[in-house]
Amino acid sequence: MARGWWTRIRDRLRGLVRQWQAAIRSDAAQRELDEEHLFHIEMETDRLVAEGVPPDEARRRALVAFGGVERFQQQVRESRWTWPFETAMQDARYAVRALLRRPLFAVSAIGTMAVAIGAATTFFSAVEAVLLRPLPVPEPERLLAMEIVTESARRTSVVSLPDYVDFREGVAGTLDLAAHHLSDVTLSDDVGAIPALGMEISSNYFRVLGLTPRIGRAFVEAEAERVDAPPEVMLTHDLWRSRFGSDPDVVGRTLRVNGTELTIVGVAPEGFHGTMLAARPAVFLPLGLYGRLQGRDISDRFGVEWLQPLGRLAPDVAQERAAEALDLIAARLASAHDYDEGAEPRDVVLTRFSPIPSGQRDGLTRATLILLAAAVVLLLIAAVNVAGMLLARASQRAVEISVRTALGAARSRLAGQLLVEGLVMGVAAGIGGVGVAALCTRLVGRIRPPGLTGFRLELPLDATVLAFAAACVLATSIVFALIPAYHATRRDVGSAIRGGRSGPAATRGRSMLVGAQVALTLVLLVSTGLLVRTLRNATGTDHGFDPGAVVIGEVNLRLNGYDSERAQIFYASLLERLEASPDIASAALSTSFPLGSGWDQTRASVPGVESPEPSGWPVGWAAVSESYFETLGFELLAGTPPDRTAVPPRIVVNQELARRLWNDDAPVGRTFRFDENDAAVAGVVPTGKYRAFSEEPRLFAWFPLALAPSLSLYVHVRPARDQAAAVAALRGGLASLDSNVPLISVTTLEGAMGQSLFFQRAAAAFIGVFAVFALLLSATGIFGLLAFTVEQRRREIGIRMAMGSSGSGIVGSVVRKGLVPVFAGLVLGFVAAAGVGQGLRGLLYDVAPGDPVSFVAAGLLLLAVAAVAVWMPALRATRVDPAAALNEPW
Amino acid sequence: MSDKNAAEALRGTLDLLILKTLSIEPMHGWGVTQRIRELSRGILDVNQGSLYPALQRLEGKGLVVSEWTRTENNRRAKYYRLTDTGRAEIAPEERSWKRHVEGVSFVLEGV
Repeated sequence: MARGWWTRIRDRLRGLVRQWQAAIRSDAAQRELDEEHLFHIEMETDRLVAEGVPPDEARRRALVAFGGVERFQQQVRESRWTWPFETAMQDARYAVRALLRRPLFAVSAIGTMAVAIGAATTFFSAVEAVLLRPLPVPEPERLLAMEIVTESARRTSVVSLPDYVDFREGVAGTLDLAAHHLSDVTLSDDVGAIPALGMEISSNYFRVLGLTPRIGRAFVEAEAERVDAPPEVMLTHDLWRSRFGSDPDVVGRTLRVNGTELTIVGVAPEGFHGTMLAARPAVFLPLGLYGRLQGRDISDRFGVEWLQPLGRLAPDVAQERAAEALDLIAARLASAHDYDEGAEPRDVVLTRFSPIPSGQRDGLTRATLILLAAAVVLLLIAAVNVAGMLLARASQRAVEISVRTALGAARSRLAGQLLVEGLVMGVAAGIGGVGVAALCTRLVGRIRPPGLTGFRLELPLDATVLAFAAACVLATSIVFALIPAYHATRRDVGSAIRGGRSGPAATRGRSMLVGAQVALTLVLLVSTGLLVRTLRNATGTDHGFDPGAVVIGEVNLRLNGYDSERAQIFYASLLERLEASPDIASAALSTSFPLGSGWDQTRASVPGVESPEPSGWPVGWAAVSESYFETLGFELLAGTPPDRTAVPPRIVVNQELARRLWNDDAPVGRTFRFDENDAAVAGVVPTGKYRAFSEEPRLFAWFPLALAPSLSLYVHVRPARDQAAAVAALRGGLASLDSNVPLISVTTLEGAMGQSLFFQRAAAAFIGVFAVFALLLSATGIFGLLAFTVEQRRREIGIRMAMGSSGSGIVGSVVRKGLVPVFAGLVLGFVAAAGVGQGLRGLLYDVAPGDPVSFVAAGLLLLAVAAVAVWMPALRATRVDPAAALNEPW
Repeated sequence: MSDKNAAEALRGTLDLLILKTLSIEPMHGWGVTQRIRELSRGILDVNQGSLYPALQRLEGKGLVVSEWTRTENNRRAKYYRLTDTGRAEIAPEERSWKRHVEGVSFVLEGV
C-alpha cells in the first residue's frame, strides 16, 4: 500500500515536471507537437491510400479529419496546468515591448519610482539598524536593562561597581545580571599606538548573552569584578583577524592597552561587536581593570556611576519577581548608605534591553523615523506622479483596450494583462530601487558624527529590508495596474473609438493627484525650511569668540598610564613646544570645548545675595590654560585672563554670571564663593552657548588649569598660516614627547562644535534633497496635467480662436484650470505641515514649529515653480492653429 | 445534465478508452485511434482534436508517460506508455463507467 502511494506521487510529479518543461521550452514543445501531428496525418494518409484512395485526396481527407491544426494545438496548450504562466509570460513580453516603444515614458516612470523606492528602502534600513535589529545573541528579547528611579524621580541606568556587585548577588537565581561600559583606549605595540574603543564587561557577560568565546575563555567569575582584577583582555573577532592574523594560538600572547601589558585569554565570536549601538569595540576588558587603566577610583560606592547592568531572566521566573528582588536590594542600599537628598533609589524598573544608550534613544528614534516618514512621503509623491503619467497613457490606450474588448477579449484577460504590465514596471522599479538603496546605504553608512573613534553604523540590506522593498514594489505595481484598468473599464467601446480621447473624468482624477502632490511637497519644503532656519540660527550664534581656523585635538594621558604629576609636566612641555613652532600662532589647553562633552557644573554664590537655590547658582565651568582666551580669540569685555598665582584665584566669568550675581557688567576684582572656595573675577567675556545651541543663557566660569589639573585635555591651536601645517606641528610636538600618546580626533573647532547639530544637519540634508526632488516631480505633474488638457481641448481652443477669442482669454482659462489644484494642495499642505512641524519640534532651535518665514517661503517657492509649470502649457494653447485644429479628424 | 457535466463525462470516457487501449501495449496517438476504431468495430471514431489534449492531460496527471521511438517502419513517433498509477486507475474507472451505463440502461428500459 505504501509503495502504491509512493508510485502515485512519483508519477504525478513526473507529469507536472513534463508540463513545466513544455511550458518553459515552449518552442521545443511546439516542434514536438507539430511533429506528432504530422506523423498522425501521414499515418492516416497511408491508411487511406492503402484503402485505395488517391494520395492527394487521402492527404486532404486526413487533414480534414484532423481538424484545424491550429485550433487544436491551442486546446492542447490550454490543457496544460502551466497555461496561466505562459499567458503571463506572453503578457510580460508584450509589456516589455510596449515599454520599449515609449522609452521616455518608461525611463521617467520607472526611474522616478526607482529613486523613491531606493530612498524609502534606505531609511527603512536605518530604522531597522537602529530600532528593529535585535542583538546577534540567542533570545535577545529576554535581555533586560535595569533602571533606578531615585526619590527625586530621576531615572538612571548606570551604577557604581560596588552597587553593581550588590545587585548582582542579591538577584542571583532570578536574574543573571551582567554589566558593560564603553571607554576610549589606546592599543599599542613597538610600532605605534592606535586609539580604539574598549568595552569593560563583567565575568558573566558572555554567559548572560548566551555566547561562548570563539577561542579561549571569558573572564573568571568574581576575579574580573575586583579592583585588582588580573591583567587580561579578550579580543573581538575583527581585531583578532586584523592585528593577529587570526592566529589560533593567540591565547597567552599579550596586548598593551593604555600602556599596561594584558594577557589575551580569548576571542569573541565572529560578528559580535558588544552591546551598544554602532559601537565597534576592539577589546573586551574586565570591569575591575577600568580603575587601573583609566586612572580612576572605582571602589567608591558614591564615586563614578559608570556601569550599565543588563540581565537575562532565569527560565520560568516572572519579570516581576526579579524586579521585586532588585527593589529589596535598592531599599537596603538606601537605608545602609548615606545618599544626597533625593538621590536615594526608590524603585528599580526592568525594561527590555536596548543597545541604544538611554540618553540618545529619543533623539535617534525621532531622527530615523522622521527621515523614514519623509522618504515615504517622497514615495507617495513619486507614485502620484507616475499615476498621472499612467492616466494620460491610459486614455490613449483606451482606444486599444476598447477595440480589444469589442473583438471579444475577456475583461478578466485584459485586467490580467494590465496587472502583468504593472508588475513588469513595478519589478523594474524595484530592481532599480534596490540598486539605489545599495548605493545610499553605503553612503549613509559612511556618515558618522565627527570625532568619534570606533563607531560605525552599518545599514543592512537584509531579508527584512528587501521585504520592505518588495512591499513597495507590490504597492507600486498595483497602482500601475489599477489606474489603467479602472479607467478602461469605465469607458464604453463606442465613444472610445469615435472620440479617441478621454472625457473629463480622467482630468478630474489627475487634478486631484496634482493637488495631493502639491500638498505633500509643501510638507517637505516646510520641514526643510524649519531645519535650515535651525541650522542658520545655530551657526549664526555669537559665541563671544572667533573659532576661525582653530584646530582642536584630544589627548588623554589616562589612556597611557600617566599619573597626575607626570601629566602636568607633559602638558606644560607640550604647550611650550607648540608655542615655539613657527606654524602655530597660539596654543591652549582646556578640559572641554564649547558645545562639546566634558564640561562640569558647580555652584557659585555671593554672600548676602539671594540665589534661586540655597547652595547657589548653577555654573558651568572649564579649566583652561592662560593662553586659552587669546587662542580662541575671546573678546574680553573687561579685565584680564585668569591668574592662578593670585589669592584667591582670579577667574574669568561670562556676562550672564556677572549680571545675575552682581547686576554689573564689569565686576572685575569682586569676590564670590565658587565651588566651596573663594574666587575673584579676573575678566568678563560675552555669554555664548556651552552645552547645546538650544540652551537658555547659562552662567559660566573659566578656572585656571593649574588649580584643577586633568589627565584628559583638549589642545587648541590657532594656525600661523594654514591648518595642515598646524596639525602636523601638533602631531610632531606630541610624538617628540611620547610616541605612544595618540592624538584622539583632530578637527576644527567649528567642526567639533557642529557635532551637536549632527542630527539636524543630516535631517536637513536628506529632507532638503527629498524636497527638491518632490518639487521637480510636482512641477512635471502640473505641467503634464495641463499639457494634456490643452492637447485635449485643441479643437475647442481652435474654435474659440476662430470665433475671435483673445489669446489672453485662453491663457486665463488654462491657468485657472491649473491653479485650482495647486491652491487646493497648498491649503491642504499648510494644514499637514503645521502637524508635521510639531513632530519636528525636538530638532528645532529658535524656530517655532509654525514659523511663518518657513511656511511663507515654502508656499512662495512652490507657487513660483507651479506658475512656471502652468504658464508653459498655457502659452502653448495660444499657438494652436485654428485651421489645423478644426481639420483634425473627429 | 449540464453542458459542462456532459463534457466532463465524455472526457472521462475518452480517458478511460485511452488508458484501456494503452494497457495492451505502448502506442502512438494514431495507433490509439486505430485501436479504438477496431475494438469498437468502427462505431467509435475518436476525434484527434480531443485525443491529443487528452493524452497531454493524462501525462500531466502522471497516468501515462511519453517517449520518442521508432515504429516498425522506422519512422519517429511519440509512444505513450501506462505508468503504474495509470494501470491502477483503470479498474475503478471501469467499474464506475459500467455502473453509469447500467444506470442509464435501467432508465431507458424502464420507461
